[in-house]
Amino acid sequence: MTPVLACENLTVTYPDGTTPVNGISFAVRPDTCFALLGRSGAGKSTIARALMGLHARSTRILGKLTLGSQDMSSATPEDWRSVRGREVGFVAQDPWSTCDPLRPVRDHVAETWRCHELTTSWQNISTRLTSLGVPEATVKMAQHPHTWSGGMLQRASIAAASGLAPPLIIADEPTSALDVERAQSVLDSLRALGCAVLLISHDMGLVLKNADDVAVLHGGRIVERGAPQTLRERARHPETKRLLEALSPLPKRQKPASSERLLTLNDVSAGYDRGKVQALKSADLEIKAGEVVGLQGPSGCGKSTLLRLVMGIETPASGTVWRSGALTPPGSILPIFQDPVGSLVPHWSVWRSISEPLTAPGETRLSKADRRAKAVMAMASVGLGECDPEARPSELSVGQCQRVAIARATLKGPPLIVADEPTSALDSLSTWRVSNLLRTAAEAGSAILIVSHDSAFLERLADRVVAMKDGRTIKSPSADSCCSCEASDDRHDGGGVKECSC
Amino acid sequence: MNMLNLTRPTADIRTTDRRLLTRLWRHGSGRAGLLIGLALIIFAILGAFWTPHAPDVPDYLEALQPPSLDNPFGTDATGRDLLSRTMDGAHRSIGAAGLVLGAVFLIGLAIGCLAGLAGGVTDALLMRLTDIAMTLPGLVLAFAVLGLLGPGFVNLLIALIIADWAWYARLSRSLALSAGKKPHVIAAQMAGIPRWRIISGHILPGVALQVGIVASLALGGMIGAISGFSFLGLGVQPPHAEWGALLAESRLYFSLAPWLLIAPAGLIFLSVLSANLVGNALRDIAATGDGE
Repeated sequence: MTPVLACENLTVTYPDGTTPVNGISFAVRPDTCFALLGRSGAGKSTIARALMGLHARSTRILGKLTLGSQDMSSATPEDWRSVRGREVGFVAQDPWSTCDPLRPVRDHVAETWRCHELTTSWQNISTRLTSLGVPEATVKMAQHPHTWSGGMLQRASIAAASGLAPPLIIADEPTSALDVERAQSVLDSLRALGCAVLLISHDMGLVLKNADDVAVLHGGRIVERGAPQTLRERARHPETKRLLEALSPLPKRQKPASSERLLTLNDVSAGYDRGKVQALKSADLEIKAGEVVGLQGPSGCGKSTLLRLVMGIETPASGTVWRSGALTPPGSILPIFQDPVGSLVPHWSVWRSISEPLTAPGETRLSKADRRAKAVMAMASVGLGECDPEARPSELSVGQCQRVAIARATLKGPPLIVADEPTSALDSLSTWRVSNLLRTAAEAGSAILIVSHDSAFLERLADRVVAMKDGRTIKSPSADSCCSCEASDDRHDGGGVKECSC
Repeated sequence: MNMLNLTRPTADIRTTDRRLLTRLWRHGSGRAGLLIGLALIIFAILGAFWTPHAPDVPDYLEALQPPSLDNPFGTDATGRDLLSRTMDGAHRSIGAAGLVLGAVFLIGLAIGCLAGLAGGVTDALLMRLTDIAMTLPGLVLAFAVLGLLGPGFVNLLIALIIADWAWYARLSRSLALSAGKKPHVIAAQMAGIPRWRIISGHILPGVALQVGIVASLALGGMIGAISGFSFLGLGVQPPHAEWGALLAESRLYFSLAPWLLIAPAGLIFLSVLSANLVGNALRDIAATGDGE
């Protein structure tokens, strides 16, 4: 069977002399899903651009590239334009940035026909959207992109990419803007089209579940390839093993939470704008010493406000907040934030940021050298032992910055750590590492309150999950891990497909 | 029971020098700006103490001579050596612009940060004061101050400071406000760090760098403003030289002696260029330093 896409010795050299892609060869057979797996910077997106003829003229592309039966190695921009949409479709990472916010969604889908001077009917587009799982497509497609949810808009992108039934669709991180359940249902819609898919992703779990063939990219080369099952069981290259790490389960809780109460919020409400907006209507929360509590719910449900009440930055308009004696001294509640880079002082070395809690009044005075030594030890414990303690946050990756922030929060072993969406800016490997570190902190005796919309992350890490909706906590029947189905019903997805893992 | 492999080397960590000057030097346009700026400063310092000819003594026999070995920039209408006059004027032009900008930078930073961080009544009062200062056009305000104080170089500097500080106060306030909400500030608050240390360690350095960049980009305009006032006779008083005043004089003899224009205009151009190059480099460095 002739492959729908074959490239031999593909090498891409940028005008500045860097070679992000260096001599890679692979072929995508019809009706299969071929995955290029690698961390950020591995050269994945450069390959996608080369396969679509999207590089600037000054970028040198060597090697043989065949799309179907056409040799595209020396194709002109006109050749590429005639091929895009007919021979190869493209689904990009962020559906909102690929759609013009001023035009309704149906225009974006119709573009596929229009740019090949073909015509189509709204009826046809609506049928395609419906078959991809968009409810009430006829009405919704006349709306603008910002009223759509990420999952639904990504389905519209798929409808656009598959409009002219190309034998191959290239999907570059198609689900990284979506949470786990939505990601899978979007990929299912993509696979259901029946064309070959070149899936480009950093997410080992997603790839193993969906691909028929996997090539692991590292430093612009393919370092390992094989069927998902083979890779999972007999990975040879260290990079593959590292990516597989993200799938390994967390160690079992050694030390169960104690029954000693740390903090109780009773029927609290809070608002802003002088009470005009009520972010929090009625919330109850109890945290016991050493307990890991997850707080889950759609955006705007009051999670962050509740977190600020716990942190003591805000006071409730009504209701009571009770804190145990352990939480009264300053520095006994330490935060971890969503934006890892912004949570470190940009002009400070990372060791100085980590050791800052040690300089608070009331702490035993330590010399600068002692504080640095403690910070270096803390860095080693979060897996940053090789990292220069003098580095500035801008010199680290986002995942490394988050580990620095965790090192700062756990340095003193505070009774309570509050984490606000600590993994939403991170890839799957970093997410796994952060979960692991938070688990370690919990074992060391800190209670942790984690706010997240990622139910898989919370279920893996938390002792119990409290769901929130419309400014209220939803009572969970027991202290066991439980996720309310209502909680994953994102408000953007007005009546959309029910996507819940429960 | 830690599952992490602690010995694994982490991703490539660049070890860069973090001193501002070194980073400026490594930055292509930053180095060019520093070199030009350094040359101009040496030129100005040298000119304050020594010039090849007396800058203020006329020699009517030598009036309007084209450039020669003895007078590399030519001579002006009263026969004074233009090189000596530009050297003599350098410290007034560059120094005055630097002085005014330094003063508005410090005043603006202090008032802006005070307003932004104190909030409440202090903020309201200080900001209404800046509003008033900003509603009056800078030039008109400077004229008014000069009218009160009388013409003169020092009075000109005072007038320019009064006319300009409000901008920097506004800017500092908004930067301090947004810096005060950054996660690293909240983290420090939660850790129990005293407020004055959060302000001096977390907030001020970042705000000062950003306001400093804006001030450095304004250097060109400031040299121009000082020249303009000198041209109107409200700044440097004859027979003292100043680049703007020299440029103004050269206008009168443009058809007879066009070279008179080249030296002062070229020097103003070079100082503006230098300030802009350094300002751009600072902006690049600040952008990467913020991780934005």
